[in-house]
Amino acid sequence: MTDALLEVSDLAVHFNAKAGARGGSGVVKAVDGLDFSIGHGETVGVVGESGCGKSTTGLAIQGLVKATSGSIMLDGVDLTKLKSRQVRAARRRTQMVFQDPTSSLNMRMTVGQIVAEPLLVHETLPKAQHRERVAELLGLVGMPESALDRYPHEFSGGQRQRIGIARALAVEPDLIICDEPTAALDVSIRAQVLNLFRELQRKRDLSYLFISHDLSAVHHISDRILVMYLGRPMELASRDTVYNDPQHPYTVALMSAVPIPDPDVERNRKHVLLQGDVPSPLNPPSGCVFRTRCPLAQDVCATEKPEFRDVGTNGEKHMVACHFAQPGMADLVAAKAAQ
Amino acid sequence: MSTTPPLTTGAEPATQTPLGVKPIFEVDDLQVEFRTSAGVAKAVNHVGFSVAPGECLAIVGESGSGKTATLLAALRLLPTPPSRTTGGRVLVDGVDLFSLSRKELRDVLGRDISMVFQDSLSAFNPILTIGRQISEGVRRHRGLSKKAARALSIEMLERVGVPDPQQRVDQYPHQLSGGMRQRAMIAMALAGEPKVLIADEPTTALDVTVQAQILELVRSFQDLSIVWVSHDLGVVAGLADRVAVMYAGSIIEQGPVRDIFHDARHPYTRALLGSVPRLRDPERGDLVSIPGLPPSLVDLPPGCPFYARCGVREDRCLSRMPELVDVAPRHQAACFVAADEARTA
Ligand SMILES: Nc1ncnc2c1ncn2[C@@H]1O[C@H](COP(=O)(O)OP(=O)(O)OP(=O)(O)O)[C@@H](O)[C@H]1O
Ligand SMILES: Nc1ncnc2c1ncn2[C@@H]1O[C@H](COP(=O)(O)OP(=O)(O)O)[C@@H](O)[C@H]1O
Ligand code: SF4
Ligand code: SF4
Ligand SMILES: [Mg+2]
Ligand SMILES: [Mg+2]
Repeated sequence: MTDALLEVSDLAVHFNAKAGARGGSGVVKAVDGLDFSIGHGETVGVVGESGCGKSTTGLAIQGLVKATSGSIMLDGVDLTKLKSRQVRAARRRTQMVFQDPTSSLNMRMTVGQIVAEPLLVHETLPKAQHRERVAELLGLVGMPESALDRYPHEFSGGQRQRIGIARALAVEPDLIICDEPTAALDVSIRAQVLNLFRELQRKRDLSYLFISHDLSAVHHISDRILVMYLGRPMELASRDTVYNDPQHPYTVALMSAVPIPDPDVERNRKHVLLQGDVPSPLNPPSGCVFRTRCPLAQDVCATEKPEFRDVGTNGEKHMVACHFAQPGMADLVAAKAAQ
Repeated sequence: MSTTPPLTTGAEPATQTPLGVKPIFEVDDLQVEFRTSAGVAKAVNHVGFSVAPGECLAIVGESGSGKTATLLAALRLLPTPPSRTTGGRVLVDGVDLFSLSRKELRDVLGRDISMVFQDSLSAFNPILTIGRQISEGVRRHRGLSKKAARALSIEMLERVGVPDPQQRVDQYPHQLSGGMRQRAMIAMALAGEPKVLIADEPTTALDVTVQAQILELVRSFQDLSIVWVSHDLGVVAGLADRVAVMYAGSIIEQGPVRDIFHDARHPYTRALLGSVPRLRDPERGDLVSIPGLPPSLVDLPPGCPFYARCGVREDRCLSRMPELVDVAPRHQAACFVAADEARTA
């Protein structure tokens, strides 16, 4: 993609881990060999089980954890190689929205101060205009101007999430990294926030990296979806392709596990059940990291790491990391799992 | 605990089970309050439901709607203060839990009825092995020897799909992954062969892949009577025979699972169903979002608790709380407009 806003290439984020309850010590490859891009006005969803590296990816893009290797290009500028005085200007262009609005907002600041904070840090606007700008931002996310002088604890979870979004919008970023932005919200409130994200995108041509456990929400909001497992990319394609024609066995299992809110459908469909848990990231399997739970694993999967390659036809880029990627993977996995 | 005689609510909906089968678990007109700094919160208001043998009843509702308070109060597990159960009756296989002594209650809990929670770490004692904790219950309730209890613990762990049960039985709760610990908690709950399992969001904290494993496991216990609390409508669709929807401390609709999903009558249930994004939706319009928030339980409005957010409200909805009335066979809703529609249909 030539007009990409963000281009992540061969990104690795490794942590040194101390020996823990699960045993072993050494290097956790929280993210390894990650390639993807986000276009202008595009939403890319990131899904995968707990610990697969979703948050680490977001934090690396925002510069809150250091990339071990690889590049993160934002409009042609490599964020991993910035000189310190360039950092602030570049950082303004990406902003984060977190899961728990209560812990990410300073409860002793008024809503007005919270939303204005990035304006102070980035000095994009004379201070005299901050109040007016904050009122405008609150209006944009559907909050009354009267919220300005109140404190976060006076608001509900959904309203606090709106405050967090208003703050992220303050410096007019191009990309918003949303890490589980709706996880703490009830269904009806979650719908309000998801609708708000899409409305803001239409108005502002924003791009989103939308990280979530909630596959239904990701599917609803994303243009393309990245599936991760143990820090590695497994599959990346349009939302419809990931759902209707996944070519990675892990994607098949993940989609199959999402319960569908319709008793006629949910009771009559076959679930592909994965065995056991995700292996320890301190000691990932050789070859394909998914092989210990993959119903299709062969000998080659233990010895050779599958390349993240394009299997797309008719112009759509469809990236998959599986030796046996093929159309009709869902049926193949279901047949194998039923044996 | 006070022993106010139960009020009658509506057309005896609480005790309806399929074809007049005697229910194994019955909650009737339960009322629970919490003393809070803001005043008395009416967390559970005249809640009634029943579960037939082998049936799974799901209770759905948003956070704070009173799901957990209902279940904990029914099993007398809520601390007093701050809570107070001001009325109601709870029957487990005909035995009135509110009339039992503490000791008698302890015998019933774990033997006839047991509970699993969202947070399995707090359900276990951190300083005792998994095996010891499963054994203790079955030794008390089923009078097994130490050796037999240990063998049963291993068998139960195996049954719920914990890998290497021989080793796991001697491990401590924190040494198990979240999914494994949740299985072990289910093993512990089922080891005493209870007649009723009460499950409060037991898969909410898990990855969908692990949740799918647990749901499959629960479905495999076909004779078990289950009350399953969840806010995930997908989980409910796959598991429940009947569904009760809670809002602001009241059940506002209940009925067979297909009726609730395909023929919901209460405006809140309808909005709730419209607010979930669905994996199957090919195109994506805006989701239905319910404006506003649930009312404060400290000063509930006199009429319908959904009034402030309801799209079809009328003046009469403010007059009094609508009762649960039949809107279809075995299907009740607490809404004036839904009741009229059912009468004229
Ligand atoms: N600061 C750190 N030091 C050591 N290890 C870390 C650190 N941050 C993350 N990790 C490890 O890196 C891996 C990826 O973690 P990450 O938080 O990115 O996962 P995630 O996909 O966001 O999971 P979740 O769905 O639970 O939020 C995990 O194994 C985690 O334990
Ligand atoms: N220990 C407590 N003290 C005071 N209020 C409580 C307590 N537990 C629950 N509540 C209140 O009771 C209501 C119902 O809570 P709960 O049953 O936990 O809801 P749910 O399980 O449906 O999310 C809420 O308003 C909650 O704040
Ligand atoms: S490479 Fe092998 S183990 Fe990995 S997903 Fe493909 S078939 Fe399964
Ligand atoms: S009783 Fe009235 S306010 Fe309540 S749900 Fe029905 S129509 Fe709406
Ligand atoms: Mg995370
Ligand atoms: Mg609860």
